[in-house]
Amino acid sequence: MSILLDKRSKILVQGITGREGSFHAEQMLNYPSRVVAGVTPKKGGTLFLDKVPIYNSVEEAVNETGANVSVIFVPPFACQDAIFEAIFAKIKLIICITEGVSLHDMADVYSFLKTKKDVRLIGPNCPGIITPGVCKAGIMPANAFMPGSVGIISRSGTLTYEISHMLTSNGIGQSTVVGIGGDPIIGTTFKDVLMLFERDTQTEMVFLVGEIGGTDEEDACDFIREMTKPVVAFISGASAPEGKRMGHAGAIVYGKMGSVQSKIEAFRSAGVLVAESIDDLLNIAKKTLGVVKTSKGSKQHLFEYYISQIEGSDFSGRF
Amino acid sequence: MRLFEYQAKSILGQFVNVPKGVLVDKENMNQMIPKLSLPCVLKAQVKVGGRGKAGGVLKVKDSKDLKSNFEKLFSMEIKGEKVEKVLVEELIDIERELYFSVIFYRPSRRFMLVFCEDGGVDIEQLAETKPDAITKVKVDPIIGIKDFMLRNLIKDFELYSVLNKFVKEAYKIFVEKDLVMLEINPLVITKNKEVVCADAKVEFDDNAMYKHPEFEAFLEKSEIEAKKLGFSYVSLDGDIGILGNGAGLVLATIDSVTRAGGKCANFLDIGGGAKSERVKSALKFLVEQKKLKGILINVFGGITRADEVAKGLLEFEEEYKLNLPVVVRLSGTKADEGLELLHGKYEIVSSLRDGAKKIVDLAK
Repeated sequence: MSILLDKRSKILVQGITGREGSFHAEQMLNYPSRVVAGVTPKKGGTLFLDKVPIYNSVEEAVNETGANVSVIFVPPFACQDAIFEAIFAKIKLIICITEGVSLHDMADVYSFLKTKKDVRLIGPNCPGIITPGVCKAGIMPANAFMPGSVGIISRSGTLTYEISHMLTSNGIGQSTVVGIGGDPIIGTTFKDVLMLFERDTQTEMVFLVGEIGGTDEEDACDFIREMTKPVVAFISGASAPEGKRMGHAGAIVYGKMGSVQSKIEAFRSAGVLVAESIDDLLNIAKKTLGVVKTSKGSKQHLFEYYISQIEGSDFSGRF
Repeated sequence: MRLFEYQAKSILGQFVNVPKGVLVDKENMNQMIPKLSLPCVLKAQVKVGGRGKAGGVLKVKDSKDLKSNFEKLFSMEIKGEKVEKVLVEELIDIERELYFSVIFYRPSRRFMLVFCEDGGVDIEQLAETKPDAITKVKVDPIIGIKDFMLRNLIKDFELYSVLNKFVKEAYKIFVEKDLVMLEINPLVITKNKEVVCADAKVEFDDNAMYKHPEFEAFLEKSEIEAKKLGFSYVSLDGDIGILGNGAGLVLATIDSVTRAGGKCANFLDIGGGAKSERVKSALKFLVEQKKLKGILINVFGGITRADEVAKGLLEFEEEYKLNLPVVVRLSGTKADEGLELLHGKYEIVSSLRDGAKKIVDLAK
């Protein structure tokens, strides 16, 4: 099993004819994910790569194809509109790749989403989700990933590829990798994804990749204390100069919250192993999962094992 | 983007009361001096806190003191920022000084109103010694502010009735102008019971620039350059140039170089989906900023294609001839194509750790 995506996930791409949308829709199709529809207003009725139908609206696309996951590539100014369009068309999993969405636009979306318990938004400004070997709904380079038992949640896109690639080249695969995005307002937090990984039978340990700023890492700690699975964290930005605090107003409201030190202390007190470097993560994974899985011979065997596990499951749209 | 006080007040002044003021810089100082009415207050324009304590605010009663006071301010450097402009304001008839701010409160993704009956003081210190004196109310952006929230914020009924309209107006500015922070300290009530923003700190959300062409005029030269080119840049103390994609990866790259014993010159994130042209401009920008001993390029292609990064580096080399050690680490989307292009021309490494070690060695 895996989380959020499975082989029955039907992907819709909002903004499929744009530069990024078309490039990554093709990459997704090649993965092979089931990209069933695209949406670009005024281009409805045409085909993407001669096979994927394009519609004028998300609602139309959902009615015609039964799409249940949307990946958004529209430009920042139209992004809030695109997210609302997906919510109102009853898409249950919305993945927003777009970078540079304004804070107030997202604040409205976040407030509205709080009233919709059955809709999950990932991002914005995120690389998406990949369940290696099964489905990719996002922009990550596929060859950095392979099926396995490490669940990864990360605020940083490129760092996620880096870490997954390192694991993969050492024969350690991933159950599902979720890039939640690094913006101040994101739809899904560490805690939400940790809950899913805790319930997921394929995931044996979880990597949490955080960053300075915000308090989502600290907030996740209460749940981590209750978890049965080991969680290993890495926080980037330890050597960065102290981030610009928001003047006095920020200082009096936040205090020391959000610093690397505050995150590391919170993790340690919740029993989370904090990796000092990316290489450290690899060593910890090797120790936790056992060295046998790193040998080349077992790699193919493991790959087949996990694929068979995933093939047997069906949990589209369930959280 | 943080605004200067005079910029913040030019925005606020369209909605609420701000003191009358004029801006003076070194060049026009002598022409401006005869036109200024006294008494007045001279305020150094810097974007850092603690200006008052550093002597950056001077009251002037006598015209013979004007020039010397201007000169004093223009020769100052406050927490590393040079004073280029001075805001000259009328003195206001202060009866009471209060503190008020609206900020984006990240942990709950709501906005937050913050109020204190003691304004004009070091609010950070007050927050530590008398935290109960500061009241905070969260605001859901969909609902906006209601009177009961204001009554919870401002417990004194007399003050509440004086400030009700101002707070609503200030929140409106915060929303309409896409601000991340709006802080008024002190918020003054004058002897005529007028509410005036005596000082203002404003931070604007850069992502909303397309909605507010009026903020474009506030961008600084280097910001305009970086913005136009589409990357984010922060200058650091060291001498090893860093170029990467994605804030997290760049931060981790800086962490690695620091751990390997090197010192980074900068944080440069070329952003998502960079084409060769942007990579070239980013490199140009990088070497123009300061003298470097080497450059480490760490790109993991996702939405960014690694071959575009390689092309950008080659185009830059051809045009500007770089006499510096360059260590390149490329992975991800189109990495093989990118590495093919760079083969034999640069130090290529396969891991971040190797790259950090190599550039630190080469830069010695």
